[in-house]
Amino acid sequence: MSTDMVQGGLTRRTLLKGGGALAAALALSKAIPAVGGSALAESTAGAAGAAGATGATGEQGDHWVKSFCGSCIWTNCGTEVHVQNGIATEVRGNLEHPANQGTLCPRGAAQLMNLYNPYRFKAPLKRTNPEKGLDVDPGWQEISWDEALDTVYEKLAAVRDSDPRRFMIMYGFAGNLHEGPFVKLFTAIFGTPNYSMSCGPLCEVHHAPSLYNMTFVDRIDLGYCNYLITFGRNVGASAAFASGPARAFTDACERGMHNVVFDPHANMESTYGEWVPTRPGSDMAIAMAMIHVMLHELDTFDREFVTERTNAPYLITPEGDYLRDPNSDKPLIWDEAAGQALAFDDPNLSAPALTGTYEVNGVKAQPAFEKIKASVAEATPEWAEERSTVPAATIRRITAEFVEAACIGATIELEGRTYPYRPAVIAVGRGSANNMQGLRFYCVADLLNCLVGAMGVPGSLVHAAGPKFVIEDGMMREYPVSKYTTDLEQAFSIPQNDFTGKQFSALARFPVFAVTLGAILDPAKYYLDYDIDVLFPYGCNPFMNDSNRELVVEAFKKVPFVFTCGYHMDETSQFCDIILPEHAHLERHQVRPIEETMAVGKDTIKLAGMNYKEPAVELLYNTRQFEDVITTLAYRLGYGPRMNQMYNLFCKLGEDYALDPTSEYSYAEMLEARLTALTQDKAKGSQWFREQGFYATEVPVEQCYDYAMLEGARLPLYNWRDWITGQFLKRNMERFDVEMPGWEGRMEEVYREYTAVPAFIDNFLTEPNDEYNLFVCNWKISPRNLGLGGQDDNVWLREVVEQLEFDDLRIQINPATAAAHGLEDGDTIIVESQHGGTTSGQIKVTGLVHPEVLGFPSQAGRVAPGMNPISKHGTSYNQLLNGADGFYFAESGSIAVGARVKIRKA
Amino acid sequence: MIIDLKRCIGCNACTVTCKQAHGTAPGTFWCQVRASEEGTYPYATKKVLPTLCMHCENPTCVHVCPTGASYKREDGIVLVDSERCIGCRYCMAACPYEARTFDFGDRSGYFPEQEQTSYEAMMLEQHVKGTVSKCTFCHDKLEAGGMPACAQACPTHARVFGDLDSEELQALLKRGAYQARPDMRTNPSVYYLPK
Repeated sequence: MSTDMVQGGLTRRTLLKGGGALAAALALSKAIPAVGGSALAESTAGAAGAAGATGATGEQGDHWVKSFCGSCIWTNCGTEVHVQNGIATEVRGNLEHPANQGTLCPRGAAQLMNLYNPYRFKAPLKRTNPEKGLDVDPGWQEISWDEALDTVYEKLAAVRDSDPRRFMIMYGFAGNLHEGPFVKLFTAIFGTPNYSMSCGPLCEVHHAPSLYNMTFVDRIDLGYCNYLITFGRNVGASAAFASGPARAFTDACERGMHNVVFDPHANMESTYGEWVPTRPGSDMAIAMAMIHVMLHELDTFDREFVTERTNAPYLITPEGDYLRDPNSDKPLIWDEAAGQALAFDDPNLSAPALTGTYEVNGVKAQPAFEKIKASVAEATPEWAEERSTVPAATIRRITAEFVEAACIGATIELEGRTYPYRPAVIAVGRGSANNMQGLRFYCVADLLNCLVGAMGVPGSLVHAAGPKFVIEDGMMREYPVSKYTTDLEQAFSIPQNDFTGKQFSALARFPVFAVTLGAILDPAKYYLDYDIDVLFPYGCNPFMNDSNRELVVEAFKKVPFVFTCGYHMDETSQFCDIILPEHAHLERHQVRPIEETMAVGKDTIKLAGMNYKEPAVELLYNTRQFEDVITTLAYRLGYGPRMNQMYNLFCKLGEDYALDPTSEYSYAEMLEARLTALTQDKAKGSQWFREQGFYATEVPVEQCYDYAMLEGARLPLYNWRDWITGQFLKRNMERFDVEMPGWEGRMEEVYREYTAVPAFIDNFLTEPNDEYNLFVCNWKISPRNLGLGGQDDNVWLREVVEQLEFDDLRIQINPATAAAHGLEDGDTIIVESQHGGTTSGQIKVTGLVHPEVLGFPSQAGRVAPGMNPISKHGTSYNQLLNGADGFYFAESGSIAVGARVKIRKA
Repeated sequence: MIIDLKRCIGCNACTVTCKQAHGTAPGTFWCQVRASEEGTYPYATKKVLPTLCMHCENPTCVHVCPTGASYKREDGIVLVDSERCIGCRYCMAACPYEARTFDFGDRSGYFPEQEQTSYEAMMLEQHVKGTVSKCTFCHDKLEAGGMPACAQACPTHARVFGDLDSEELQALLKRGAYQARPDMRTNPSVYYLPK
């Protein structure tokens, strides 16, 4: 099928006058004038005015401006902003937009309070008090943009001239969320490998999707799914994703989909199905028991998928490696028909063995499937019940229902192609993946999906847009992957080159934050031989995200110069030397791909395209566009050619639309190039987008299902890739005689995390602990989703949290537990973590949490003195956790979002 | 309006979108989601119920209003004429749905420690101290060919707005639709479809 264009189309609603739009476009495309004698550019919006809304058009009356949302990680939703006499008075969903279809979530509906927030930065600032601390007055002094940028430039130029690695950029999901080209390109433009992320350790949801769906995040195919099992994942109802997931979920439930929620608390999704309360950190036991039931009790699985589409028949040596053909080096499979081992792609292979032991070239090898089956031999539902509190009978029943609902053997025809039809799936989310054993658990859950063939086919888990992979040993391998995983042997160096910690945590998707902070304070301890001189945190908040606030404070205090491009006086800004104030979401010039990521229905699975927005109103304050600040600095530092060329590659501009490396561009001009390259039509640039708000296309259905794309490539039922990465790591660590800080003397604990088959490894959550006899967990709710995009100080959202939400600011506790502790609804308790952190709060007694668990939804608990006081309500949940060396996930750097605690009445 | 409780996820998009469309003061909710809990562990579930003015065919608020400020239009929409409202609040006491709010005149807004924002200054002009306010079914949007802000915003399309006599809505009503507090004999124009 050819690619159908589903364009925005002419809208029924008020359009900007053509003349006005053209005038604004001309203004945008002009060279940006210098300001006040400085070579630095004026901000785009400041030069051009708001999108046809104001001065340039003289249109002061009453009109709607096309925009898109700024309150999510993936801002898919198209919006329209009502502007009356220059004031934005309403944001509504764009009815023409195929993703959100005119709807909004509460976060999207609350964006006006992000714009009209008097706690925003209003002008550039410099610190006059050199002493830094959360409760130390920085002595802010308002300065000009010239002075602010000159100061930053001088510091960056000094680093450029000595060692660019001494410049660190730190990103994360904070009040000023950025998702644009200069997030990923930034480090490369400035020539430093030191990119860090405050949010990365809390986002352990990318490794398994890369192994099983060749993608950054997997999507649940709700258009066809009939039996959905989730572990710690919201499917779009709890967090209310208006761009499709919430709608797809309710559509599926109305259609009759059964929904099983394994979780320590009953989320909104579970009200549509079945809640199975679990003990935090025990999901691995449940998944292993499900495999046990499937393979040892029911003996039912999708033999065809497992044999042909996974490495289950590959022969494995006693050490754990593939047994390879000595000549071709290809992995071998035992052919029962031939009575000998053949290469995995041998055309004569007719009866691959899945079980048994075979002697080949003097080695006693077993098919991977046999190894997996053996790994769960003792993992009975009764064994899992002890660890998870889930009754063995429930595990057996749900496993049997899952296998039956998977319709093994059934097919479905979509757009002329036949696919396996597996309308049953297990989907894992952060609540589970970011808890102890979470990275491995996610892989084991996907192994379960593979066992019934529910992977990459209609009704199961599918990739998000833009998957790339290579085929290696007959296996799909996501491409590009982290250099440490790919070339660990070659890239490994001591001293280390960067502060990311990814060299030691070889499966890390993001920089390891504990290492970054620790290394800033003591580089030598982390095998580094240089310091960080300049730190640029933007859109990040380690003081809230990380579990060890004192460490963050000390690290920020140590770096000689810290500057940010920020929105409000949050905890991060409190530690900066220079503040470059940036726009609110509705004042920005931005594009964002249309791409649904969580869960998809039939009406969203094929969607692709681009959202566009311009400033909806005149700037309220003396702020600038983040991207213009970046480009200004890059050009002045002489990084222009590098930046322009990287932008060309990143945005796939091709020859016709590429930026000239030797010229300087405003961000508006860069966007114009990107938009016209996308539409392949020079008439469809920002002016066209201004009128439409978005450009939507559909991809063919065969590009939506991995099964079609992965013809000839298998999936890792046996996780050889992680295993071999661990082998490389061990060899390198021993070669350089180094150990991971925090794991000194117990490196075997690190290496055993790189497992090829399911394994339950006890840890601080699972080991018995009579003193700390409760657990904590938190979750997303519709008015607060990761706290990003300014949700913690958005007055409308906090009002909903405090006055209307069931999941309000209180700490949730089960009635039986409250009674056992002599507590009543409304009492204040002190919560002490096994890791030393303490917090307190009022309790809410509810049967919606597991008896061993305290629930902390909706928390803000901000501590920055300069923020809206409303943001300070609630507890700082993350301070109960432990992301320190020796406690984070050794293989990936993630922090467990659960901990053991004890409580007492205040 | 028909609200399908099978599709309502209790997200409060309706609540917030109503707040911004009408610029209501802190603590005033013309539209909101009431959340509660049903059953006991491990069978407990969260219950959510979106509420707003029911725009009753037989509105008690109109009957008790001494000045005629509360009135029902020919199309069935119940409104308050703030010019005629004397703030006696009989209507608030009479409304079985607690859908009305009294404006005590506090204009400190959402940022009491700061100057009033230009948005708040503009929106609060529409509200009159000493009068009662409530959901208007966004009649201005209806007159412009649109729909109530809450109905458009709902991310699961749980709200269907239209002529209750139309074929589409009649078909939905046959799926077990019910009205709140039928004992009050108000005959609301807002129906719920059961979960």
